[in-house]
Amino acid sequence: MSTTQGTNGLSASKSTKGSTAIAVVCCVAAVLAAPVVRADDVGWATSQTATGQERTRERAEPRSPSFELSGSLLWLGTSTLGSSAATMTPDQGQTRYTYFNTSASLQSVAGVDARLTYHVTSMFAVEGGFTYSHPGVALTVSGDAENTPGFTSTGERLSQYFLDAAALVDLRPLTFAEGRGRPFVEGGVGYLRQLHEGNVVAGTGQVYHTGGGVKYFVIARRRGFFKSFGFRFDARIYFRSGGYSFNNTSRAFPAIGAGAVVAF
Amino acid sequence: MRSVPIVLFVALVLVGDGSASAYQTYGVQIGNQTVTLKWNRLPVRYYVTDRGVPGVSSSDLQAAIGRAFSTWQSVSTAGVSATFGGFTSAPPFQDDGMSTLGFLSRPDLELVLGATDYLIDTTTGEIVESDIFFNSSFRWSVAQGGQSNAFDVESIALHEIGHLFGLGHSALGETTLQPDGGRDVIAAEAVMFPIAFSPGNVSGRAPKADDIAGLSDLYPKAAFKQQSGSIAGRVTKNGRGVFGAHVVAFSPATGKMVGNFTVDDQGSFGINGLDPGAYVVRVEPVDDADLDSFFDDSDIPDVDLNFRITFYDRFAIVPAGGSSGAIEIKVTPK
Repeated sequence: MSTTQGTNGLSASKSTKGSTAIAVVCCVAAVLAAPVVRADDVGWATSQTATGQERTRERAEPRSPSFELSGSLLWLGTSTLGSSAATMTPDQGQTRYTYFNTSASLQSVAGVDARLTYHVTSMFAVEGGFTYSHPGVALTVSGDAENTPGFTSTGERLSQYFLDAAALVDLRPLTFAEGRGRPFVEGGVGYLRQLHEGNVVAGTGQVYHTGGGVKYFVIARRRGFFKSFGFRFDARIYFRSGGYSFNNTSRAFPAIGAGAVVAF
Repeated sequence: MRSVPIVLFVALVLVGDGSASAYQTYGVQIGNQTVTLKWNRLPVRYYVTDRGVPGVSSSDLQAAIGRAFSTWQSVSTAGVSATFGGFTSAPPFQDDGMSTLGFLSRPDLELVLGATDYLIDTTTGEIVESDIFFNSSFRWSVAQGGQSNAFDVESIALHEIGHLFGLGHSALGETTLQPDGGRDVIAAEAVMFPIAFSPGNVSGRAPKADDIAGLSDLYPKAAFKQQSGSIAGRVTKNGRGVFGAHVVAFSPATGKMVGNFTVDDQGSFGINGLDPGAYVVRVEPVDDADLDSFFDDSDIPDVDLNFRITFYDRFAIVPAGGSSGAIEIKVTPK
């Protein structure tokens, strides 16, 4: 049984530099993935000379158009909701009288992220995503005018939904592991909906995100509906505008995700 | 038509036959029903007395009163209106079928800047006449920027005209108790707070969120009910309802505060006319004005002052056109 390798459908040339740069990110996936790669399943395009003695690799253009479906666990970082003071009109002077101060934040939480990706070209893809999380809300009250002790309460939660559209660009020069590992950058915009306990709409708004990640395919096949299977890792910065917030200031928070991806 | 007079005082309290169901509005008992006190027929036609006081002529008074009426009429979510009928030699507080506003010398009311009375149709509960007097025992001013040592006519008129339209007192203010039993206001966030700002202060010329919510609740424009929401719930202590607690809803997003009271033995309260969004809710005993500024004499013994200031430990979410759902705020004794 001969084994051949080459670039897979969605990547192109290898790049040593690129592989080094993302080696840390991908090492876990590579270690886990390596044993399960079987020659019969490998779908990387290859060619042989007429004699069959010399193996050569050639670039294989992606089977465009193609789709990917991915599902990930996404960790969403803490996000401030802002701070605000309850104030009154003073009898004397211009400085408003502080009745009490409030601040709040959405606590970090693990959510789920599902994405359907469509490869428009070998490098460019668009995708639609759905993200659900159930973060806690930390409410802090302090500085009461009548010296009531301040407190921070964490007893309430929101159901939070993002519905977004994003664009992905494969970083072909950074492809590694014989084309199995494919870094990408992405950016998107989406709709935000947050429901409070009792499913009362707490707020709606927009989310914007930018970031990058890597997909590492461990199984690829020439035939069949499912063409390849692998893992997907994402690192994003979200910017939330509107929603459950003290003002319209855009709030940033990080997100890191890991999951599986299937191409078909 | 049978009618009865009711009197409200700005600097002190309300006195009379009305039953204050909440700070925002008054209820009058018509048969077995409590009817919200308000005008059913608008615009209100009002008259101004033809007597001035030193520094304030009758035309100055009429102009300041006109501005105060205009301020209330400009509340976009409420539909109130009034027209000036002319000057009159009749003093206020005469049950003569004319709503008259003017100066009246009441040196006996040494802490009362002004007062409002009503003539009510006892078959419908509607207001048919309302008079306002400004106590000429004090110094008054209509200066644009205020005048030290003189109370601002327009500010006090705005408060009294709020009563004229049916608003009760708000407890959104902080005061300090003086040795003589009087109170000095430190700050307030409602024109309808029962204690006036100091002489020279003209901050009371513009209604606050609390005032606007109250007026809009009484005279809502068509879209108001759909666009605003409410917080409803109970204040309890050791499992029992607290009567007379002051409940304040604060929107961190808009900075607006609106308050109300628990109004029954179950500790029930409702705060209407809120912008949709998240609110921080604070509960306190009434301690910044005399109780009879807010409650009927017969209810005062039941007002519970023995509990600590307490915040609801989460946000109350107000949906457009709906209610937060019943929330319970548990307070503890002092």
